[in-house]
Amino acid sequence: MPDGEKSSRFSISKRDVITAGTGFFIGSALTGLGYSDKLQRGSNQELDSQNQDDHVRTELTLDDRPAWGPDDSRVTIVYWGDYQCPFCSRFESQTLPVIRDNYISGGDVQFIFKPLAVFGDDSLRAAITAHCIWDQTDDDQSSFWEWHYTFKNEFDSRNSGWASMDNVLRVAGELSQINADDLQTCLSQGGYRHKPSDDNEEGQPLGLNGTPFFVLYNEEAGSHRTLSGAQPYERFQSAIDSLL
Amino acid sequence: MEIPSRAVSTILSSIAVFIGTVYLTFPTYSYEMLAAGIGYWVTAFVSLVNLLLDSGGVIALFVTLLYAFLTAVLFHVVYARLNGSSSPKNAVAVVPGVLVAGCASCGAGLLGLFAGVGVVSSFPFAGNGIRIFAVVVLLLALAYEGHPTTTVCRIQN
Repeated sequence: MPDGEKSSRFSISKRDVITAGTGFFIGSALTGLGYSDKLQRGSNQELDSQNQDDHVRTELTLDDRPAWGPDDSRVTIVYWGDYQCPFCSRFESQTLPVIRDNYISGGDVQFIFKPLAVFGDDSLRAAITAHCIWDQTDDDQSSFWEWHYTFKNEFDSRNSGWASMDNVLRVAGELSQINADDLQTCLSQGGYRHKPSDDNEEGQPLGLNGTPFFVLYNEEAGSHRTLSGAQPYERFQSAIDSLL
Repeated sequence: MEIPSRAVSTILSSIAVFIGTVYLTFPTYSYEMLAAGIGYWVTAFVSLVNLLLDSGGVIALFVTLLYAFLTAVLFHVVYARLNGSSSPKNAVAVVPGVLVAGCASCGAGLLGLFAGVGVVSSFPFAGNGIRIFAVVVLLLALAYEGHPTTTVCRIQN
């Protein structure tokens, strides 16, 4: 290009690239540190103040949510999950049965389920159905969980209609503890339609950004932990034992 | 047979990008598992690869591998330009690829970290659309990187 003649093309110097790249990585690092701090506070640090744990406890709406285990358990595990979430399915099939046998059955842990509607229409219908079923069976926890695992076996692919009204009522009709007519009435009224979104909003300040997500707390001791994803049983065991 | 060092470097970089992208599938889970101890690193990786398969099928895994390879190639091409030749006019093309990298294997993913759980459900095809878009961006960047109008001075007649 002749001397003195300006280029008509947009040009970027090596310094521009380095500056932009440096700025990007500094910004990412600061963002990452911010999230790291949030995760650190949420995951592994014990809150010493009773007020802080009360804050966690009062933030959570636990009434009228499907539960497993006695109300007076020392440790409570709150579980945010979705009926179409494969990671949740992995937790429920591999880890939850061991937690049930080792902690829930013995009365050490109460497990509370907050079904979300993350993955679409079938998730929403499944979550609402869970609330309606719990409404019918809250005196008999085993009936709810029997329905829960039976219903989950109906899943074939995401939002395929596996949680259609017809399928929901058919599964309910096959279980003697469930009144399918009452269930249909509950679903038609739509009274629980807001609960999945309410539970979602409630979980986000606590660290919910993917499912499954867990808050484990001991109200009396004033301490809590959070766990994200389908972590191995040993991770839950370690968290529960640290709270007991 | 002597293997060119750049080929080895590209393969190793591809593996590193793939591993990093898999861990970004569920950032908070990965962070907690990696922080729990080195014994959980492989468990977390295997679980997330299985999650990738469960969420988006073999397509998701293939596209993520392809993305990792293309990212490594692009970085090597840009590095070569920065390292010796004239100013690379379109080196900034790396940036979109890096920005998209975090989302390339979004299950709950990096999008979920910033925008909350549920945002991924607004994307069709179980997130494969995002992954394919990331690959397309990289292919365009690579194509533009080698375009003669960006590398050769025009002779004014």
